[in-house]
Amino acid sequence: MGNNSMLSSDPGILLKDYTGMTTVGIVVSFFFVIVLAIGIWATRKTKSSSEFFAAGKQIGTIALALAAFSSTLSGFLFVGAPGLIYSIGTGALWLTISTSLAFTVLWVVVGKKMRLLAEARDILTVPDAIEARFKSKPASFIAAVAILVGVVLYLATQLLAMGVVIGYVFNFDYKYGVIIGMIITLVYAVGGGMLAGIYTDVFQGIIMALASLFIIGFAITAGGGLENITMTIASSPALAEGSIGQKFVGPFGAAPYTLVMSWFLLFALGVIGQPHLVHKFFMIKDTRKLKMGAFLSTVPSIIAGVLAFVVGMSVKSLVLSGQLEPLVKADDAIVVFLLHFTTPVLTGIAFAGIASAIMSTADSFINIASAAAVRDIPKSLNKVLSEKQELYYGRIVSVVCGVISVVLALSLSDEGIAILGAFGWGTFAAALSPTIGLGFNWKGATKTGVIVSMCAGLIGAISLELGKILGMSWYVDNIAGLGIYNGVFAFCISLILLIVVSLFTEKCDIDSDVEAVIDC
Amino acid sequence: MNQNKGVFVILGVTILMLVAQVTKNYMLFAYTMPTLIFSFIFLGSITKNKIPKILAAGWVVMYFVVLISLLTMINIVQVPENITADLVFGLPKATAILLGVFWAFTGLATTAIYAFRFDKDILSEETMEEFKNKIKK
Repeated sequence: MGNNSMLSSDPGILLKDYTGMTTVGIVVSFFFVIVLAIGIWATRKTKSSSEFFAAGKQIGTIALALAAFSSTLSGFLFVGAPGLIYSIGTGALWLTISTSLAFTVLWVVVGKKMRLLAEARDILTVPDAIEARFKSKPASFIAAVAILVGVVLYLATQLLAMGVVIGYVFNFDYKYGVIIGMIITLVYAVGGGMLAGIYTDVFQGIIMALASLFIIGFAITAGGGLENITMTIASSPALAEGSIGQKFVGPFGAAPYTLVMSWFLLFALGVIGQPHLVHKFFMIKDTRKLKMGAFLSTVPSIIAGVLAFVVGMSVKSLVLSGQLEPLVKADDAIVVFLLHFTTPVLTGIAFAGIASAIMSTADSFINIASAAAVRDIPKSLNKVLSEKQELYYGRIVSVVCGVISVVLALSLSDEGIAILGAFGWGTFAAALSPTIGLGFNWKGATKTGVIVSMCAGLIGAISLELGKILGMSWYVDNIAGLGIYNGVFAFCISLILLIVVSLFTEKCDIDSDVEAVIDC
Repeated sequence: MNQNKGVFVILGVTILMLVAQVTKNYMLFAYTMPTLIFSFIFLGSITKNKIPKILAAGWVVMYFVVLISLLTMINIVQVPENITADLVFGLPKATAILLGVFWAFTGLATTAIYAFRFDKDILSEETMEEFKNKIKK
């Protein structure tokens, strides 16, 4: 029990006593109706597999930019980041500030190449692109399997976060939240495919960027201004030992320097291996639409990142100054803050934004997983489906992926969920970034090089994460003491192997149109 | 710089980064981290086997902005008591550098460079025409 003069930090108690819950419920329901309306509109426009998997290659600059912003940052920015900042200070922000270079890297290294490749060939997916570049069905198959497995498992962790948010709003168990969230996502994902996903991203991106501006103001005010927030934390007796309070407000927080720089690197360079982001460049209407996209993605990502920073720091200073009880879980930071310090309408918009951020990522994941299952894997096994078959089976596989993810999310233990978390950004970064990043910018990359690199990246990233999570002896005895960050370590190994193996293996015969892409 | 040279730079920097991790040398990591990221940006900027000069100059300036601001932040936090010695807009000076220079300025400036040089250096009409002719063959 906390002190009576302190505000409660238990979301369960807060939600029970919160008088604005009806307003929050109405706002969130209204958002879900709009999301479903986008789904219905997109379903009417989706008549072919090209429209289902690549939005008919008709999206413009703003749609591309906001979709990239929404898909990159997802629910993590609004739930995980404030919680992590509350726990370890400013250092956690390095996961988010990678957007200072991530969008430039994405646009410069792969954006133009992928769009030009889609101009030259009928490319709809990342494995399509890999096959076009290396003329290797095994390479395409490995990429497709990595995407399918990684996406379905990673999706389960996203669903859990969505279930918690929906459960909060409508006051029921998170398990029902997972199921309801998945049903809404599937309604528009199965019908409208990527077109629905893109325009949901646009809607959600605009709302979150605008809501963030207001929430930033509320957070600074609640903490008594930035200087008060800084000095309350820095001079707190609770954090005096080892000058933790000073470090907490410093740029690296209470985390080791190499760890936070590794986060930055993994997100800034790993972005080129994220299939749901690379995929978006196949959908752009024409090459000129690339021009402003990186800039337009960066602006809202900075605004939303500042939100995570000020909410996390403000809640920490409120706790340290005795105005708020210590959080039950760090991830409750945003929920506790919204319920105590903002209005019900803004809380509703933020909850809806968080849920739709996760939904839009889930939709992108479901779409590329179904593309991998009905297009990429059959193609790599010499079985080509017709356009109509791809669309039909693509919709069925979307439902199957959604159901598998729900079952995984609801049936696994906490340890199981932590293991699912291993199949995240770092896995794709290690497995696919070197192949995509170097494959389309260096003619010397060979098919053997990329196969070795993808296998090493995939196996390396997953083994290291599993070793760490499960406390396996080979990891604890030999690796843990090295101070490496698993994703970056696996990424470096994968990158080195691609280059070295390519230097010593037979060069690929590159088709003239693909060579033109690499030369551009 | 051509593609092969760019890839050799990436290989060398990646090996150094691996060494930095295994030896827990955070200063070496601080040098290699922005170098590796900008090596990829340089590689991606190569058009017809060279990097347009103005674009290259822009990336070089931004590379030094990132590297110098990173080293400055590390230098300030070496003595924890110095962190809050100077405040800028209510934030410790090093944190203000992180938010204002390392993040916001770098993010806006690099993407603005991309947008401003797009028509001339990233994908000019001439390059696009050449590309279309090549893929028709």
